[in-house]
Amino acid sequence: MTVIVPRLDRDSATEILAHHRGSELDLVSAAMPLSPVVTYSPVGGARIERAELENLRFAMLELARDHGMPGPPERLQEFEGRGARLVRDLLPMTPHEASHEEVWSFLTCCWLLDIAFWRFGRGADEARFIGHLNRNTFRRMWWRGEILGPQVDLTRLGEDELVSIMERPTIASDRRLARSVAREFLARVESDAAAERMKLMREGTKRLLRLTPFVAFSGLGDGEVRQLASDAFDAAAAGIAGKAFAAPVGTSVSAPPPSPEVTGIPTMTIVTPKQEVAHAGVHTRRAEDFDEVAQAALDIARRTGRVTNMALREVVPITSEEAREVFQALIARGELIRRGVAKGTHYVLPEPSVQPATPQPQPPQRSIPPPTWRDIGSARPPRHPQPAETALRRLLRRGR
Amino acid sequence: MKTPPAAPYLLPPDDVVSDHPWTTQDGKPVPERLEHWDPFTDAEFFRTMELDADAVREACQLGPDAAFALTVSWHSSHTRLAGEGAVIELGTLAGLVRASLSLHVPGAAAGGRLDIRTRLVLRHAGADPSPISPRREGAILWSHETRIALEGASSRFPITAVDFTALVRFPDTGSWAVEWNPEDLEVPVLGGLRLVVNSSDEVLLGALRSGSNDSRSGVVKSFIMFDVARSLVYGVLGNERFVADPESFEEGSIGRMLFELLAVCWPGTPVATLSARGQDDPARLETELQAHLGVLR
Repeated sequence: MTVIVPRLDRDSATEILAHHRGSELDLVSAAMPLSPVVTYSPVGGARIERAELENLRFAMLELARDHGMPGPPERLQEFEGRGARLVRDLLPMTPHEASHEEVWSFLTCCWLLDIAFWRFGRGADEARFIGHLNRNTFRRMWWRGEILGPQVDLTRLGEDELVSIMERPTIASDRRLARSVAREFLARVESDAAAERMKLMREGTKRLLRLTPFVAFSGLGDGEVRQLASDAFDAAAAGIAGKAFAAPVGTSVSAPPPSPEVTGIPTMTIVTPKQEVAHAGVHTRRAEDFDEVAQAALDIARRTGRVTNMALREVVPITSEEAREVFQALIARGELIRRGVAKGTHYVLPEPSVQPATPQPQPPQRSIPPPTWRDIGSARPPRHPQPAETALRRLLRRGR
Repeated sequence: MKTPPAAPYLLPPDDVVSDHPWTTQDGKPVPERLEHWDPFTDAEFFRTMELDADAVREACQLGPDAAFALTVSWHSSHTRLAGEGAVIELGTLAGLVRASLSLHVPGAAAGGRLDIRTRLVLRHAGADPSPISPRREGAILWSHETRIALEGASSRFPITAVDFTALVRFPDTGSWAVEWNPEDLEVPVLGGLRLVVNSSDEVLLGALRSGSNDSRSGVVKSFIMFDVARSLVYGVLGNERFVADPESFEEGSIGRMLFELLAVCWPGTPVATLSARGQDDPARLETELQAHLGVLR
């Protein structure tokens, strides 16, 4: 059964804070709990009992004393992790209730202010004591326990690592994704595969976030979400170690059958033999040479308005350098224009020129043959010692 | 302005999908604001989608063995939590297909603004996708977002559902009680006043649940409203300090709320007159209150 918790408005919380900031810790402890005028949610279940709040205060005080209170805090990561579990378990609120700033202002300022002062110092930012979303001492603990669940050992995650999960709304809003990130990260830390754990977390979550505009995590099963997180951390670890990593794209081996909620709508279509041939031809395209890769770049630009180095590499397994060569060649041919050099380079199709109403004499144009990988390579010092080692050959060797 | 994401793969044109509006359980279109929603009310939404699977495959240069799915997810601005409905698999069906989608949003995890996203995603790229086809499982091919404000703007009377068997003060089979102190009118309405209803009385609870609008619920609500108002009016008219200076209470306090209640029900009548009427002719006071509240109408 969930409870509703008293709410303390911001003005009252600020007043309490101002009154106690100058006091010694033992005096603040002696003043707890405070009983100012509070409100409750207009709708809700049982109000939290005083005994439950006393229990919470007792448990948190005991934990704080285990970690040095009233002296300097010790083993903070462990305190934070154990505290998160305690606060979450002893405050059986709904997420809706736990999203109210005033609830946390009440709990912090009226029952746990001495512990918050000890943890962050009396001079800390007001947000540590008022119910700020990501900064309130106990609100962030509760939400860590709620989102990451009992299966994740919170004492093994550092503050920066937790922030990487909890302060990225796309990850934190999805419990499955957040837990997968935490588990996959900890699995690598456990196996000692993460020499630079902070960097690994940052890089791994960044790689995951890059997918979110294009991948619907809601359409994936638990195993698939975890696999994505695993791939992101593998790629991040490889990147940190200076190694290449090719994440598998597409994990299912077969098409799932239609759900019962789906029905076909009968229609009658007339398809000419010519159309059938054209349709079949679409599916047999292969990147067989440089022009095929260039065409892919142009197709992306045509259909999406722009193409980036990364976007091209999403569809053709070539390196960043090779993609750049393709773009340079297309710019030289006048088929692409470079944009956004300062803030994310991308390439767009040139604006179509306005055709005059009457034909105008045109200057003679020199026909520029399309470059090949060999041409591009000869325009500057070759990167590859063997002329045969072209991007195309490497591309074909990868089994495409 | 946020740059819209440019998908690094082919997308179908928008018109390959025709989406019908989201509806509630009774088939009515979901309004922009759910006035009667509260955190103890789960929301259910339904919609039908139709799409041309062949056109999707052609536009994305995918073969006939490529499979798609429709997914629905929600995100609450208040809790910053997200959730998803069941994935509707379209498999490798060809031609026009129709799918029924549903979404359950638990009230306890929602609030504020609710964004509902419907997406057509790739489930299986097939054996022969082109180099610029979508390939990754879950790749978003089409997306639509609906925005709903969950909490209405109207004010609410504080109500708490409690099992009376767990309370010593009230009999187990009692139905409701108004908890407040008529001598302490300075406290906020949301802190010092509440209607406690017996959560073990399913019929009562059902009638009071947000959005209940059948005739029986109407009678129950009407009767409770009158009973609560009568308790409050008699209680406050018995407070000498209130009767002497009813306008001295701050905004948001119980005293101010009750002064406004009396002013609405008996416009122009001095509070002292009402207090005297409550003692001399309580039947008149009660029937006037019934008339003002429209009991059983």
